[in-house]
Amino acid sequence: MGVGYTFLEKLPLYEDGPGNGKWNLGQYVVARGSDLPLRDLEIEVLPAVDANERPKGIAEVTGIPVIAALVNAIFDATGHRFRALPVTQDTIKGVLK
Amino acid sequence: MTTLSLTINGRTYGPTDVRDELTMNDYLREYLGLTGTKFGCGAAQCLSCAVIIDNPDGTSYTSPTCIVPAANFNGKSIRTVEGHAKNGELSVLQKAFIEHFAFQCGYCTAGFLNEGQVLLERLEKKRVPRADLEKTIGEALDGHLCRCTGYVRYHEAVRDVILADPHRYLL
Amino acid sequence: MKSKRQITILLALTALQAMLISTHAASGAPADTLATPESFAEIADTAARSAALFTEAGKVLAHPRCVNCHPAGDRPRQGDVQRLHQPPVARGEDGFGLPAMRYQICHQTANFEPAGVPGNPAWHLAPHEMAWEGKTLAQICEQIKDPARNGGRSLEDIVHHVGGDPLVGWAWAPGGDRTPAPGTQALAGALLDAWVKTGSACPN
Repeated sequence: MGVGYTFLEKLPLYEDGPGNGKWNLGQYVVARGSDLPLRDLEIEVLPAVDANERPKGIAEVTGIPVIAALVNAIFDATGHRFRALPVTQDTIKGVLK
Repeated sequence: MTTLSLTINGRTYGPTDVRDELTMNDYLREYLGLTGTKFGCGAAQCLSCAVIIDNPDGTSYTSPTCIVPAANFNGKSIRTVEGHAKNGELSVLQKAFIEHFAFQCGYCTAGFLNEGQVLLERLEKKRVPRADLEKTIGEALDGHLCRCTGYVRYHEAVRDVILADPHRYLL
Repeated sequence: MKSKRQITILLALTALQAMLISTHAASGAPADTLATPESFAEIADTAARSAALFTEAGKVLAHPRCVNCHPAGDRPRQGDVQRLHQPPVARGEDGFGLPAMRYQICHQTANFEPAGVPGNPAWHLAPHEMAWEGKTLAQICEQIKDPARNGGRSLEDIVHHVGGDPLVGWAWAPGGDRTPAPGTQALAGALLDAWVKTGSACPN
């Protein structure tokens, strides 16, 4: 869901957003299968730091490194650092000129 | 008020008088207690509420239930998630979902299961080339939202069921 | 006895009022209504009158209720704000959707108000060649007249389509909080009928 947070999930404050009581998943757009590289995922599990290290939960980890990686990738591609989310197609177009 | 009679998972229900505004989702969950079908968004966006409608000509399709009046299902024959297992034996797709750990909270799973089942049955009737398989699965499942899994294992489960029996589903 | 200045002002106001009334009739009624074909009778030049009639009917053709399903691409738009349709649906091979997302699974044969979902028995997208999204009224006019792009229709067919087709008619009773198309379907058909009868000239 990092992809949704980075590119799709726009949540304006107050009346422009869900504060007006009319929002649903049609306005709050979350990622679908077609938004994701389902066949190009590589998962690399790093070796434990210590042989005795116990497994830990990582919970909703997608909310952290995925977003950072995507925004860094955009910087790599466009030279622009975005500091607000989501970075929509329009915002990227806006800095490409 | 409309009188509703239909077949669900092979069993007839009704005639029942239902209000015109009653959604099919409420009818399944509140009137019949068939709570396997979920209410996700109520806005036709997520398809957690999807059931299978079986046409008389042998074709089937999934339909949302949250935005469709129950009255529109009069005379239809449908399958819900409760109807996939036969005599306690899980269907091939259900087993694949479990083996692939395809679901987490399970709220979208009934919808994915129904959609995957309809896809398998559609491919049996009209097989596709192997090269088109991932795109076909992607298009079939794209209507369904999942917040937990990122979709990967649902797609892999469906794909592996198809690849396990390629002559049945693929050209 | 009124002063000369007062008479001049009075004359100027009368002329202004007359001018406003005539331009009002020629430019058509307010945005959410349609002027009748008869109200264009003052325009002497037939071609200009024809184009003005089409421009008035264009208030329907360019309305979100119509343009949303005459998209430039394969995805319909939605609502008065004309955002891209959510959930994402595509035209498919026949304009009725992809195999797993046929339009009629959500859009039933009538509007379903408890869900706010519009409905009609024929719910589907106009073919590519009938795309209106992003086009000027002049371009839409030429497109509508071209049998290669209007489904092989004659001009009379177009009048009957706009003035009588049930799916087109949905635009005037869309349900939910969707703004209906201006005027009535009968008036839209009458405007196009008058347009055809005056030579079906296109606006610039």
